[in-house]
Amino acid sequence: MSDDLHAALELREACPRFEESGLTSVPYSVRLMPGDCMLVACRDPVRATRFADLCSGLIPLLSGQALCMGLDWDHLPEHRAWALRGRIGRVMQQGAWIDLFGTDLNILVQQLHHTRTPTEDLVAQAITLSRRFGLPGLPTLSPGRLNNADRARAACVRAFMGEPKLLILEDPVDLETADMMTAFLAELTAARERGCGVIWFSREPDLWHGYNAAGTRRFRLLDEGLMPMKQGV
Amino acid sequence: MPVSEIIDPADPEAELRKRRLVELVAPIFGVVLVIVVIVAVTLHSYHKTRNGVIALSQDLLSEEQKNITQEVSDYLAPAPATAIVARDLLTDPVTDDPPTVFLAYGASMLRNVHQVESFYLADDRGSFWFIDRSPTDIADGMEWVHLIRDKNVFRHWYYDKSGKLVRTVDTPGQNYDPRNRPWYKGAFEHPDLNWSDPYPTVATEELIVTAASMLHTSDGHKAVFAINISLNRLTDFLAAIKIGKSGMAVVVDKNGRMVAGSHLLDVARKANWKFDSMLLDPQTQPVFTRALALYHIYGAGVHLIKARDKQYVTIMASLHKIRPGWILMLNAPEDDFAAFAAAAGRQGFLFSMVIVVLAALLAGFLVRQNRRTERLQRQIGFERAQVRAESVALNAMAGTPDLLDPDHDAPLLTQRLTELAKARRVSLWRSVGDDQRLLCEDSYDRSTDAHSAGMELSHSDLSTFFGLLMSGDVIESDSAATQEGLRTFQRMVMTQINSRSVYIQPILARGSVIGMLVLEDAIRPRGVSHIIAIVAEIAAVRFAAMRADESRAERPEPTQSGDHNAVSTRLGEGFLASPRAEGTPDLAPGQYSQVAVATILFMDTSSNTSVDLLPVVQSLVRKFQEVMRHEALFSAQILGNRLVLIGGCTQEPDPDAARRVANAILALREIALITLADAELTPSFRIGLDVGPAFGAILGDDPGIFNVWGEAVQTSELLAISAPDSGTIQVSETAHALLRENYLFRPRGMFYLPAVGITNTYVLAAKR
Repeated sequence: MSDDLHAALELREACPRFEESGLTSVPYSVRLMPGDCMLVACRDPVRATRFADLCSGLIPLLSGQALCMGLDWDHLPEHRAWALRGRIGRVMQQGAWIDLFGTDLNILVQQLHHTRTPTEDLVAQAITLSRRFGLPGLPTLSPGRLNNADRARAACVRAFMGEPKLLILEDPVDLETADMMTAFLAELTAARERGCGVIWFSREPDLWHGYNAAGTRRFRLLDEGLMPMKQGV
Repeated sequence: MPVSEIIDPADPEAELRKRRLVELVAPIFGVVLVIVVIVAVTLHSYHKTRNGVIALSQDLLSEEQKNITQEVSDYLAPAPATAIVARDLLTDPVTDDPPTVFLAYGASMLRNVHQVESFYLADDRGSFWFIDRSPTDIADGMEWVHLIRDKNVFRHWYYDKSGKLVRTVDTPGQNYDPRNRPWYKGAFEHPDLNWSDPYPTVATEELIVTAASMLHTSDGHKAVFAINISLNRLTDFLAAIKIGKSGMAVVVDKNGRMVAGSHLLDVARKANWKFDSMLLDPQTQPVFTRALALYHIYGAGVHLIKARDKQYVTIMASLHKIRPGWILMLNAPEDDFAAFAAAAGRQGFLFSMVIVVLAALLAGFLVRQNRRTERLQRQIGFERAQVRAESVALNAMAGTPDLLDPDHDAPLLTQRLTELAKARRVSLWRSVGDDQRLLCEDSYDRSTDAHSAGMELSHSDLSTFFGLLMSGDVIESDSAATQEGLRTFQRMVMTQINSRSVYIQPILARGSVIGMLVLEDAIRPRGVSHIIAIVAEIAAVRFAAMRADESRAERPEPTQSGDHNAVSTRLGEGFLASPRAEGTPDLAPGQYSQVAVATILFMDTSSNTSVDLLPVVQSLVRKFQEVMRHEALFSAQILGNRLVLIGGCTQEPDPDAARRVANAILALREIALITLADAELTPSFRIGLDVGPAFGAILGDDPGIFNVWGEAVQTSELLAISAPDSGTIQVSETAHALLRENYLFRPRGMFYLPAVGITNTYVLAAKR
């Protein structure tokens, strides 16, 4: 059965445990089909990260279900849950870089861990993506030594590696890196064409101004829950 | 890039694999364990039994040894007993007169003690008397022998059973003197009883041993009384003893010379009846040879000896009390006693194996049942998944707005059906042009995950296939290449993806066939025939609506193109179709808002080819010119490897100009594909089409050159460059808006262009 018969992400009245997540224990319901895009405005970066964790099955639920590609995180054995996370491309608010390694290894490590794709192929793919995102090649300096704009580009490269089925992007582009927007939107569109569901968190909803493609919904993430926004903001 | 995951999270089988392994391995391991335990128990019990049996057999042999010792003792006992009696009885002087006591005593002994051969009586004056059994011709008789020293003869008296003299015979004495004989001399060394070494008598093939004792006669002389005992009888006696099944017994002296027992005669013959050479033979009697060696080291006792790959139980005992230096040795193969233990062990093992085989069969049956259950569970899971997939597909179809509206594409139909039927490609074909052609409305290829459309099949090429289709029945073939009627279809359509099997569902409306649904290399078309029928019905509604639209629509093209056909295409220097040709209305320089521009970009991949390019290009351009004339294009210019076509320069939107360009590029594409393929060149060209603002003017004087530049030209070039594949026509959103009523498009996706923002592009497939 093809994957795209299932939602890329589905929250069914998912009520996270506040003590362990910091997310208010309200039921979250959302259904993101393959190729769909969810734009989530959230002023509080920590809340956005927690919600992204909830979508990644990293937060225990009081009630309800969180499903990724039709698989319930709660009912999935540990090793399959980690394998499923391997299908998620994520840009992290906190960066989540390992400064002991070069940025190149940081970019490749997820695919090296989860797949049998030959390293040369992964490197070729990473170089292609790096160029598209405006880097001259695959950056090899440690992430801490890259400037903010290049690190944001590298984060995007890492998230888009390996044709993910779900993209969880926490502020992938901000005002500082807005010149990357063209390349970012092109990759985003290509990923959606492939059937990848996208959740794009942003502190600045203005950044979405130009993005109004079909299958895009807008939400605001508040303590009260996930609130739909009117189109055209 | 395909991603090969190490763990597929969506694969619940991964969980089952370990369980399945346990289900398969555990019974096998159990059976192996049972076999190992049985082998161990069998071996242990065998060893226990064997040790017990060996201990028992040693006890038995000890008893046997005592018995034999007693028997040998009894056998030789007459000698000492007789000697004692003789010492008291034979006190008469030994003279030439028959010693009546000696003869009577001897006769009595010979009659009653069968191992005694004869008696001697001699004194220190050389007198010699001898008594033994008579020859065979005188039954149970006696023979007296006396040495007549004067005459130097032996006188033999033969008496029958009743004591009657039968005859008297003299034989030469050969200067025989008993005093020189070893038995006589030995008696003086051991006056009580002296045993001689055994000595053979070649004539009778007997081994004799002599026991002699010294006595005093009444006349003051010393006499020697000797008793001869045959060892052959002892040998016969030892041979007759049963020790186990095949046990043997021998008596040897301490030098290893055989005195009695098995193979005595063989050894004697081999030694030429010389007692000193009658040694145990290590080749034929290895067990006794080793036993004797062990006796010399350890003394009497029981030993296990391995010889001839067999274990032998041996027992050695000294016969010192009877005859100093003689040793009795017995041996018997261990198997004689322990064989039953091995046999019982083997039998027990075999029985256990039968049980193991039965257990293994049961285990196999269990594994088979498990596997079967697994398979059924999988089958049920698969069926459930199939039903769910069908429901989802139907839901998706039902939830698609305007599914039945032919103005909206429904790529979902082919895509879902491909997934459900596990087909390689599914395509929807519509009958057009008075049912003379079949036009592919949508074709979805699973391997490339791409839709395509626009291919046409005409009745003239495929008359048999059309005949088959028009009958309205489902056409199904596992090998379309070999089935009559489908062969041409296979060659024209199916060879594109090298598919073999085909399932064709005719699409019927009001009883007539208006199209077909084709599934290529579908794994289970019959299983989803109901879904195929539903899709065919939906397609029927769409196609019927299209037909109705087409028949209703006023077709402006013929009149418009008629108008343009009236204007001949202008050809000029530098142009394939120049706007400066004679009779052309002057073109006012300025910006035109709606210019239809198509750019055909040829990639130069043929520089290394051996094909002569010039004639090919020449012929291509000639054909292009014909098309341009036919379509009455405003201008067509060839510049390097690109061809720029302009439909018309107008300020108002001119769908007709766009249509002319679209028609032209479709025709050009076909011509280019055919011509280049014929010339064995890879058709590597891309086409872009846009309608938008551009500047147009005649630049310079004498000659003034017409030129068009601006956004539309740039965009058309960009679209050509970024067209998804060679031979494809990428169309901008504006051009699509103008042309979508008349042409088939498939959306390529949304793209963010820095100057334009997010825009859609489309791929022009074919004319409707």
